[in-house]
Amino acid sequence: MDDMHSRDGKDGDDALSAYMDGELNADEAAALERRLQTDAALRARLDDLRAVDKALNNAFDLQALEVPASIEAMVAANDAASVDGSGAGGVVPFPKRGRAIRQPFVPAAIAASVALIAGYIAGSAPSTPAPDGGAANLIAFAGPLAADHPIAEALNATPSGSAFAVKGVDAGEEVRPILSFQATDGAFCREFEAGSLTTSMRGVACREDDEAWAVRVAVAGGGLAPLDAAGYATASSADASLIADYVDGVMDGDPLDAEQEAEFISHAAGER
Amino acid sequence: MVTNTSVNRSALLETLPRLKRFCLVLTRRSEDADDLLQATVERLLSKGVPPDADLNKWAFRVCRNIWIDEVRSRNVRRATPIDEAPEPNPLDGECAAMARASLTEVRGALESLPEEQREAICLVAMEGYSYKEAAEIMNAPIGTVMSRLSRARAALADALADAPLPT
Repeated sequence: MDDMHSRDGKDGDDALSAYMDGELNADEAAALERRLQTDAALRARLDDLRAVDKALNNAFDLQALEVPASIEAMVAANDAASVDGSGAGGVVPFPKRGRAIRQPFVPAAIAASVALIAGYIAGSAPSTPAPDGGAANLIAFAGPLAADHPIAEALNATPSGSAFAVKGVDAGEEVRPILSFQATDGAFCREFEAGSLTTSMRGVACREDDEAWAVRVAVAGGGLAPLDAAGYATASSADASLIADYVDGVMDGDPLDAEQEAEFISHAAGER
Repeated sequence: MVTNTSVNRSALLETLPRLKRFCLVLTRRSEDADDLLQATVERLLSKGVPPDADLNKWAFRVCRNIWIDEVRSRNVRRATPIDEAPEPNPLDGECAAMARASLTEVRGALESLPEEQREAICLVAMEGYSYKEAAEIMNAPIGTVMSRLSRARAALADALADAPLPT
C-alpha cells in the first residue's frame, strides 16, 4: 500500500477500492480525499466502482435466494442421525467420504493387479495388509521417488488440473496433479493420479525441503477418466474418497490456490 | 485438525442464505450451488466448528475448501449462466450506468471473472468482510485480496459501463 499517492489506472482502482472498503489508513484516506476534490475523473471512477457493489447486491439479493428445504431441515434437525442426508429429497448427495483416515496407513501389500504402480515406485517394500481389513485396495508406500521418476517430474512441474505426459517406456501414460497442500508435519504435498486409461493409481506424495518426493499413500483405480476441455476429470468414486479422507486428515489449513502452487512449482523448478 | 464440537444450529440456519450466495458465486449454477451447500452443511454438522472460531467465517472456509478440493475435481464446472435470477428490484433514482444494468448482465459479467476475483468480491462487497477476514477465508495475503477485489470491481465497471440502458 505504499505508492498510494501517484498513479492512475489499476493502481488508482486499488486505492479507490480500498477506500470504499475503509481499508486505507487515515493518511492514505485523507490524501485520496484531497485528490477526489480536484479530480473529476477520479470521482467518476469512484462512483462507477461503488455502483458495481450496488448492482451486485441487487443481482444477488439475499431475500431472493432460495435454500432448499431439505438442507434447512438438516440443520434444524436435533439428532445427528439426520445429518446423513440420505433422505434429502431432490438434492443430489455428494459421495460420502467413507471411513475417516486420521493417520497415515500402515504400509499395506501391493496388490498383484497393480504391477504398474509397483513399477512406478522405486524401492517400495511389500509389507502387511492394512490392519482394519476394510480398505483392501488401499496401498501405502514408504518409498521415495527417484528424482527422474515420472511422478516426481510431474509433481515438480505440472499445475493441478493439468496432465504431464510420461515419456520413455511408459509413454502414453499420464500423471495428473489434483491438489496441493501443506501437511501438518510441514511437508509440501500433492494429490495426484497416474497411469493409463485402463489402470491408474491415485495418491498423495510429499516432500520436505530438499528431500525427494515420497509417496505416502496411494490407491489403485480403474483407469484415468478422460479430461474435459477445462482440464478436469470426474473423480472415480470410492478410490478418490479414500484419498480425500487421507488428505483431510493430514492437511494443515487449506489447499493451496493456483498462485501459491505456482510459486512452489517455480521454486521446485529452480532447484533442479 | 478439527475435533468434534457442537454447531450452533440456529446461527447456521441464519447464515444459510449467505452461504448459498457464496456457493452460487463459486459454482455459477444453481444446482451445483445446492450440492456444494449441502456438502458444506454436512461437513459442518459432522465435524463441528472449533469453539473459538466464528461460525460464519468457518462455514465460508469449509465451503471454499470443499469447492476447491472436491467439487471442482468432479467436473461440475459448466459455463452456463446462474439460473436463479431473482425478480428485479426497483432501483432508486441516483444510479450510475452500472446500477441500471440488468440483473442478468450483472450476473453474466461476474461469471466471466476468474474464480479468485469472484470469491473476493463476494466476501467483501456482498458479505462485508474486512480484507483481513477475507484473507483468512481465502488463505491468501491481504494484498492479494485487495488486488483481486480491485481488479474485479474494475472489470465489472468496465463491462457494465457499456451495457445498454433499459428503455
